[in-house]
Amino acid sequence: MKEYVLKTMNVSKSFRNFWALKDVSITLEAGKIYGLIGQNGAGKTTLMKMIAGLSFPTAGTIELFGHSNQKERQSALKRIGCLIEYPGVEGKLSASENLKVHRIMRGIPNKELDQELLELVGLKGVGKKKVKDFSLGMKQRLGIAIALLGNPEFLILDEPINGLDPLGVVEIRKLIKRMCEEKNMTILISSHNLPELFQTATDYIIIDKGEIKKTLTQEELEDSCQHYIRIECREPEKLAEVLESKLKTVNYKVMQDKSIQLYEYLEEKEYVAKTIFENGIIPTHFSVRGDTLENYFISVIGGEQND
Amino acid sequence: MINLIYGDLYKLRKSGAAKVCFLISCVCAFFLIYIAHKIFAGDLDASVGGSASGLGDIVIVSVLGPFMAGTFICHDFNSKTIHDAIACGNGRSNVIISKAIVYMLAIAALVIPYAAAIVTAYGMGIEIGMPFVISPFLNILSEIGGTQVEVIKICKIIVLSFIAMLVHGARLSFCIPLAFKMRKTGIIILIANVVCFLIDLVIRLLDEIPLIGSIVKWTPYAAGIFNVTMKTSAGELLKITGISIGFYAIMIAVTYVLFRKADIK
Repeated sequence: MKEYVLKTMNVSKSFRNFWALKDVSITLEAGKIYGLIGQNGAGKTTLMKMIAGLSFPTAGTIELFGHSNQKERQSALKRIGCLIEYPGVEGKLSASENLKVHRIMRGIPNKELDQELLELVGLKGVGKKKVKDFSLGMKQRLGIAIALLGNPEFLILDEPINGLDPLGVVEIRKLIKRMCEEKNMTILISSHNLPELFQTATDYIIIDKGEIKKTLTQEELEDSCQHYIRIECREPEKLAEVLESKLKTVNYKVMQDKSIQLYEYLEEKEYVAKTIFENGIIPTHFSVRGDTLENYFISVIGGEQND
Repeated sequence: MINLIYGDLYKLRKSGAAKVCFLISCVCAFFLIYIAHKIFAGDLDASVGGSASGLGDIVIVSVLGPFMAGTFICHDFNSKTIHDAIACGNGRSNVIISKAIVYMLAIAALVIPYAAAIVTAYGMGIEIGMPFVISPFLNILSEIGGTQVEVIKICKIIVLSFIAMLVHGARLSFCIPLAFKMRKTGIIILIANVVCFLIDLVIRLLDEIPLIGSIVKWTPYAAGIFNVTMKTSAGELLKITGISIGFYAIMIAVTYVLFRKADIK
């Protein structure tokens, strides 16, 4: 039986006459990394704040670890960690002092945890440097460390790689994946960096103008976005044989309409065409297709879905 | 809630602003007693008392108290400490109560130097004359300064000082709902300072209206609430304590009503 960490049912949020969220219903399973994709002002942060108890829905219900009652949900918040918008840190304290404050507030007695977390996020050598002298990326790392206090089961990260250098982006990606694999942590990340999200998330939620446009798994997204050479011919079985024997590839798919999608040799289209022709196959259609992640996202929020 | 209090106390300990405020209070307390004694001894003209009235605990706490509210409540919204407290499962009532307790402790810390100053002055046999500014501490020292040091009197000074702390805290407790609502340090300090300086004046003007007068006497803004002396009866002291604690509790309740369903941006 699937274990759901979060369920939102027709959650809506209005600010005066403006609807920031409309009938948002999502379900997050344990142990997965969910990428929340949307433009600026789409409602990503609003949704995250409601999950974290910082805001209340105008309509709908939120169920966290199976609890929808407000008091029980408040108690369930102890099992989550979050970094929403910018990291909440005290500029006049050092990184370890900041962690100490948050650790004390959570009632965690383990003093060694401060240094462990700093090391985990790549802030080991900062010493007594005040956080107000940190770069944006360093503050972001500290924010992630604070979110990881208390070993949360559900982690909410709002654009966690903001301001990080390329090495930092890789480090945080590895950390997120490790948390998910080793601790079965459920992670909800929002990001504008689609290629980076593509390498991190297992599932995707696309939101636009307060509405959920699409939810899909990694496999579904890859199918939608992956480039391929589309070949149509009268003898698809012979074509498949040629691909395997002459081009030495099994990286292709036979579609329902008998066309073949070849996922290799994308840079050697002429060679593929020549090989097919030399083996007695006349293609009736030969083209390169597939979407970039950005184009796919734009097509979804534009209303034309790539089904 | 206790963890939130520990967290705030840790920050208070590390806060340079809090240390500066405490230092200012210490310096003012010392000079208040020094000038009072010098006026009594004839070394300074009595007119100096007018200028020195700003050193009194009422003025100093009225100036620094709102600053503390801005620093420890509003700033925690800016640094998202309050966000984090709520997002990790603390109820909003717990957040409010913990802030209120720490705020009262911060006000108490501003008042402690005055208490310490009069205990020290009493122990050294320092005498002063009639107080040149309203201050429960000058009231006490003017009564017992120069008399024989007795442990019972020191204990009473401590009790009266504690009650003075409660009154100061209660008078400034309106800063708590204001801080939770406005969340801007500068605005809180501005509004609260103006209120502190005008409130006694306004209340004295309105006191003549029977209804307002009967309400005000049950608040920490009642006339004469700071006129506690060594001779004040236990009943009167209990009444003042009850009024202060009750008013503080009302301000906490008002804060909860304002904050319980508020969106935290």
